[in-house]
Amino acid sequence: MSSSWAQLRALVGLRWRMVRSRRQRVGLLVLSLLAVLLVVASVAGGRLLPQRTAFDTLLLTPTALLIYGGLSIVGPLTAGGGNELFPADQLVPHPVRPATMFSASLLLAPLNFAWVGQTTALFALTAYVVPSSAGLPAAFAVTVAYVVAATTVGQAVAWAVAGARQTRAGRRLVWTLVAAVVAVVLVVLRLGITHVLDRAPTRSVLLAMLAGSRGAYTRWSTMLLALAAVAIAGLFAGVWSTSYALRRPPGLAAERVARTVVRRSPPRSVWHQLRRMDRAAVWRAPALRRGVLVMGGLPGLVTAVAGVDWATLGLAAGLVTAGAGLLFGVNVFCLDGPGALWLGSVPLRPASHLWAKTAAIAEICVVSSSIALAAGAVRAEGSATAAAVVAAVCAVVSCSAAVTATCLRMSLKGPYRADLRDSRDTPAPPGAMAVRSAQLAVQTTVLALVVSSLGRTGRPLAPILFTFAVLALSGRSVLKSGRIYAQPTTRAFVLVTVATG
Amino acid sequence: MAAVVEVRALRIAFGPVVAVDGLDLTVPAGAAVALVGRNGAGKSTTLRAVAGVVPPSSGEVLVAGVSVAADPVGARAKVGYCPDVGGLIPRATPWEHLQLAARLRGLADGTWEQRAEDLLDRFELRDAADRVTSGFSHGMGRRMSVVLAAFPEPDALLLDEPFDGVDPLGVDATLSLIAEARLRGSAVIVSTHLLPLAVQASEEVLVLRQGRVVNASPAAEMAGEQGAERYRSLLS
Repeated sequence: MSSSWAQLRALVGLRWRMVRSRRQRVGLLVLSLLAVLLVVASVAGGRLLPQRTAFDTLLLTPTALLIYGGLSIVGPLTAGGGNELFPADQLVPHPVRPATMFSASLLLAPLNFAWVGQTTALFALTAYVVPSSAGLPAAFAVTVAYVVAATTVGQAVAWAVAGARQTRAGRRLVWTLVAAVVAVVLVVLRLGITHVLDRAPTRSVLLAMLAGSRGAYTRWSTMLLALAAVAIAGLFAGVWSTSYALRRPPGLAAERVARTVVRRSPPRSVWHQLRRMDRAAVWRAPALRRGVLVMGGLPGLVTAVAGVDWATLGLAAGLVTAGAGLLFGVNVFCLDGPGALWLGSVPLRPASHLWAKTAAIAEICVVSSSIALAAGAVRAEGSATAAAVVAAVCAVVSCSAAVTATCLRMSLKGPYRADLRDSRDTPAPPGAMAVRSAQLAVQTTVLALVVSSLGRTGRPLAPILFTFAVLALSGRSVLKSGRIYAQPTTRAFVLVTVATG
Repeated sequence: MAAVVEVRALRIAFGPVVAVDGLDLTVPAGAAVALVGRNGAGKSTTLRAVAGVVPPSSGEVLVAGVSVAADPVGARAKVGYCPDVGGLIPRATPWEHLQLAARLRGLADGTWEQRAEDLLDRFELRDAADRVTSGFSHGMGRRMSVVLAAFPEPDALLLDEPFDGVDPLGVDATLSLIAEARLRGSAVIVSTHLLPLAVQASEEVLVLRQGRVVNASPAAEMAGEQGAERYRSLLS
């Protein structure tokens, strides 16, 4: 059997060759370049900003590092476990080592838009709090070591949880731990025991950064060694947890997939039956069910706990629509799976099929972002003026419309076969997901920022008019998608691809 | 007997790959034709074209006199199709599939349920009628796909690999379903790699190679050892 490194190279090579579209390859390269540029720009920004609040920021840095560490664990968990280069069932015939699988997970971590954002923010923070530019390389060495250690531990935990969740007892244990962590966070935030955070272990990381930047290398090198030890321990733990998760019998997951459901009365129309089946396709898929709960609940919880202002609330709700679109909207026909071939042979008008899929994407966007908005509104800072509330609602509506239109076009241009059986399955391969998530994130951020800015004018009419314009453009795009899907060759391409790969 | 399926000079190309190359096929009402041949011979693509899933690059496909190109939805209303792979929406139940099929064909409530139950019974799927199909075994999935194809009592019954991975009782149920469809006046096309079953299911066997029909024989002539020998000689 070849070494893990050789296996990893072979798998990555195959995955890269499977990116057939030249446009997508270029997109991935551009995205990588942009990520590097983003880090460089954030570092430059951190240095150029006036140092007025540098001391206050310095005090908050341990908390920021702690949050980064927490997100490194929560992020992969919300995705159902460790990242996978290929779905496990596709690798069944091959003797792939757990170490290879875990290394692939680490390699895929930076393909996540949230990971890039958090890491960029950490680099900007480092650049801002370190007093001299000469000391930056030493400080960045600590930041890089911290990022590597946190990411490795996060992926290791994610694989362990994915394995544990295969049994009822394991599932209960995981939920108990989640509830305990949420309770601790809520207590810390509500009771104001922020001095606890000041004593966080990440304080030593900051002190090592500052020591290194001043040329005091004893503390610096000790921390680097400690972080390297954590990363190596995480690596071994990750290989073990991956092996554990892959060895587990499908158990509860298989039981749930094969379950019997209550028969419902006949629907009123074809449209209602299609909608019912699409909803079932989402709710009965472990990955999508978890995604809906996470997309709806987590941002809402965070905005509620943080108590953000109305403009930020609109921005957050807008970003939620991008996440909701990534659940399945970017390849919406995968909901039909192998049944797409059968659907292609029944007397179903392409327009009816497409409208049902449009409704499925729009529904998940609106519901998820509305939950986030409503939860955040409970503890929103500042007065709820008409303009602020209207702007937040307009952000939800305009982002949902734009994401729906974009996802529909993506689904027609680049369909993929995706079974979505496993809790880690995604609607498209990792590369395509990275490109599509970047597109949606940029689109929704820009839209939400514009709507929020218009809301700040104090006149509710401005965001409303802008939202109508976005709705009109999105509607036009959806109609065009309808015409594209009505072409027999496009329809055949989409249906055959999602059914057979 | 009037032709139900008429395929004239059918050509289907995917870029440089020609899957079907000038195929002609006529299946009258009440007749059954089997398509056999090696992998990639064009059997499944031909059935997909007749089912209205894949449009022809050139040529014409008529089902019960309706052109698949000119009136795709109308033509599909005449067809019952069991695809070669999958064929089931993964997280829907058999009953939900049947509900959708009934709605799409405008069958009023109370008129189709009994037939649906009977079909599920015959294919031993009644107990699994409300189970999510992604938990089905391969054989169960095949049997359910045949049920879905036969459910609307179509003018043209198209079965692509209906026997693949199916147990002997399922094979018997499929063969009897084909016989009933023929008696009712349906045209049946079966694509399979299993020559003995092709012979049992049909009255004519067409051997396809590189997208063309290289031989058309009465099923009886392809039976037994001699038929198998002849079939092998036609493959290369």
